[in-house]
Amino acid sequence: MSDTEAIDTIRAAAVLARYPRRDPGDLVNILHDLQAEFRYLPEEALRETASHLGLAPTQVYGVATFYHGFHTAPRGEHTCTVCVGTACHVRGAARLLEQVERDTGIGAGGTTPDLSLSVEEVGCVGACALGPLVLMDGEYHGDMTPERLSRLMKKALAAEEGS
Amino acid sequence: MDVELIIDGEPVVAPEGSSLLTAARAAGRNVPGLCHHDAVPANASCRLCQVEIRRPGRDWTQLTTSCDYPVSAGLTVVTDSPRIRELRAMNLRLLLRRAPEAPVLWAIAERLGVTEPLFAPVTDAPLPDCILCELCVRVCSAAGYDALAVSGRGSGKYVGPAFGRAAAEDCVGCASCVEACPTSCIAMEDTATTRRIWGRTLDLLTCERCGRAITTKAHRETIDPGIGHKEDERDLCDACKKRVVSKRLAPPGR
Ligand code: SF4
Ligand code: SF4
Ligand code: FES
Ligand code: FES
Repeated sequence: MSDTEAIDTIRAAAVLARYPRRDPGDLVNILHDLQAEFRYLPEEALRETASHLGLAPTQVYGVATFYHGFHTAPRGEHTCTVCVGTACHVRGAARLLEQVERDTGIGAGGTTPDLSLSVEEVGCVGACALGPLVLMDGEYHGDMTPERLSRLMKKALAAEEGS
Repeated sequence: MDVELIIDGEPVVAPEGSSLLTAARAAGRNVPGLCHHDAVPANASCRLCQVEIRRPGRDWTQLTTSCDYPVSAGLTVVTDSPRIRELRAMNLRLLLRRAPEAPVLWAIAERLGVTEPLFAPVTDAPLPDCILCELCVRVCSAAGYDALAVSGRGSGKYVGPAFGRAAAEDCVGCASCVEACPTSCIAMEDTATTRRIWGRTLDLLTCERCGRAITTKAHRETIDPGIGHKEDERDLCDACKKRVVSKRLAPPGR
């Protein structure tokens, strides 16, 4: 086992300790907690979870890959979510995604190699009147333009370096 | 306990707890169905086994998959009707889209008058001709290995090794999944000494007397010698085992 894997295992064990009942019904809750801890679900954490709950690793992996909200590959520190729902689409969501790609080199579903940013698409977040809409780290930004989006991403990423 | 029901107008007796599919087939009805195996719980995913039922005291019929519907007293079942055929045909055309080359589907297609898939066939599936019935996964799990995962969702769903690996690390090569797969889409290749399956290459165990391959060594590690068999008879193929055991059990002087 590599060092990172060993550390993942220890961090996962600390999360699993919060679930002493070892009830397989807690699986999804545990996955949420693990993702809050790691920002994604590392393989070692999923294996620890399986042995904690008495499930097969294959079963845990199946659940982890079933839900859109869970990630099995490392995620960026920040997440830029571009709404591509119908209303945002007609108001130019595609141009926003193009801008993201120009600035960061990654498209929807991607993560920058330095793990600073992940980009996602979402189909309507229920604020169509404000479209086109972008969520930066979960915060809504309406009437988005490619230029504003550029600045928004820069600001988010710079805040990271400053901290 | 047995229950009595009516299948296609004929009274049929079936053991309580058995499925309508099993009861109908036992009564000689040719009900299609690909995702069901008696050894594992039903998951009713292929939707080909649908039948019409009418419960006692009701004057309407309803459609249901028969593999996961238990028999009950007084139930009236129709296993073939224009409405049923239409539904089966549609579901079959959807399956054909995923498994355009599977002979087992085309055999059913012929019976239903289906000539082509609904929508263009899927050509980039990780496992061609897999209809995602999960029988392999369920059978492997029932055998205690849990080597296969159902990963992903929607059109990206697939069966196979977990964690994006090329090989199913817990697979012992027992071949139960190959046996259970309705479309025969799981690749397994045996040489004289090895078996390749799910990305693994496993050593075969050969019969100590005749040299025929019995199963993989990894599989053999996981099984008991079996009732009535001695430890040293474990590494014999079925035919040789029978010979040895009958010799051992035969009364002296015969
Ligand atoms: S051959 Fe491997 S994957 Fe298939 S049922 Fe046996 S252990 Fe499971
Ligand atoms: S490989 Fe065969 S048994 Fe497994 S899900 Fe696909 S069709 Fe079903
Ligand atoms: S389409 Fe973007 S919020 Fe509805
Ligand atoms: S056999 Fe019943 S749904 Fe597949």
